[in-house]
Amino acid sequence: MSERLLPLVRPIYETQGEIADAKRVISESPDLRSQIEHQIQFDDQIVTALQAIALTDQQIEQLENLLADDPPAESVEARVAPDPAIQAVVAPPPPAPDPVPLQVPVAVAPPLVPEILNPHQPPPPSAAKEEAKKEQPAAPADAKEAPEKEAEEEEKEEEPPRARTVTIMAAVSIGIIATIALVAYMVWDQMANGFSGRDQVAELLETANTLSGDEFEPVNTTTANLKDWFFLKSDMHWFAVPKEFADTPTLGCRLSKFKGVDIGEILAKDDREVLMFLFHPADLGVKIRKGKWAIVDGENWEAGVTAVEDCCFIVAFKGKHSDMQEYLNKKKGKK
Amino acid sequence: MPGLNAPTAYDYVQALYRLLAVQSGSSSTAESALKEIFLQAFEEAGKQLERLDFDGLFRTAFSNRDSYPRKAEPELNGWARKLHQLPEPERFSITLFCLEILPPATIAEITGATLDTLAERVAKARKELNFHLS
Repeated sequence: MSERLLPLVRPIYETQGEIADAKRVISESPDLRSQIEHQIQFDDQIVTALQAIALTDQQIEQLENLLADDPPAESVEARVAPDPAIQAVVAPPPPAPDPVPLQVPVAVAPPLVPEILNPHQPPPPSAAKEEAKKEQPAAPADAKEAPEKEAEEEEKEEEPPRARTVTIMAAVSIGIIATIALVAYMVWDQMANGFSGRDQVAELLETANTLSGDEFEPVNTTTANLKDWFFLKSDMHWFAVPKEFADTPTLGCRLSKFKGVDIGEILAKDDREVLMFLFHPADLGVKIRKGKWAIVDGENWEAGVTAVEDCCFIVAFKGKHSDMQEYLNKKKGKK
Repeated sequence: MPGLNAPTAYDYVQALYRLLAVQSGSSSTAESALKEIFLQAFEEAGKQLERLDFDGLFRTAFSNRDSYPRKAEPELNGWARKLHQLPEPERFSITLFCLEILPPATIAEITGATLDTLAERVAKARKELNFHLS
């Protein structure tokens, strides 16, 4: 039974009931182990190629907006196959409720319950004021008292109310504090992630969008052992990887050109699949302090950038800024 | 790679899109089909994301597997292109298997097969993709 399931063995499925049994069978036979490793490497190429196909953040956002649009059931089909040419002339939809965020675990995804104003709820303070004004009983028809009362009320209204002044002061203070905090954050962000040549790195990242995985020559070793490989392909005497990435298992390598500059590219996999770029920083005008990590947010890719000896080292994957931060922290912790 | 233990709605959507791109060979068709399948499931879940049957998205994709004509010149490269050219149900089986979003037992259930049959289909697909056991 277990042996028939060998084609379904992959590391990610190894904990799954019968696949776990199949895995046990493999561990007892060196021949099978070698076959399965070969199979896994083959599948890895397909997995990598499939991961390269992805909806952009913008497309995800559109889908989230569609979910929030609350379309009537019969209009679903019409809404889901928009012709871009037609879309451009269609009047913009009315303001939608907050889109349903898709980038949260299903278990904690919030329910999409439109907030319906409860008719029994008390109206908001401003509306209550207006209503109170309307519902005020008519003043007694005393011709003399009425103008006096009105004059008194007007005087009261003209006096600058202390409560209002306090509110304004508080609002201004909050505004000032928020501005200072924003400026401080921007300065901190610039200090933490700023470096010269950031645009070049962002541009280089975008070249990865067209990669299918086939471009890489399969090389199964660790990143630290690739110096000779790259040296033979091109005179990359400056090749170096940070200590924390030295033992990362590699899947493939290639040499590419970006703006006429030799770029070493490595497809590697440890906790997750990553793409690494290595180049001589001066060739692309990149200046970053050795050992300092900066994060670059590309359109589709997140990158961690640092310099090692005479080499600029970039590790990238598709994800969020916080994912990269967490990934680098974990790597630094392992070092 | 999304972990099998805790895929997010985002992971499911991306995986479904990849599957539909392989099936249709076209990014725009895949995007339209994705919206159609996802919105339909969302409606059926009473518009509550946490009640949505995410496995069901792939069940629908399986039942629609023959609705996209196989393209001689798909907008896909490399392995994705080769997957597109595979016959069904091998194409669906190996693609979903390599998307690593659902456990093999669920993939087998969706495709109306046993685990043994799924294993055969995946092996057959690999063979068609020129995989040779050394």
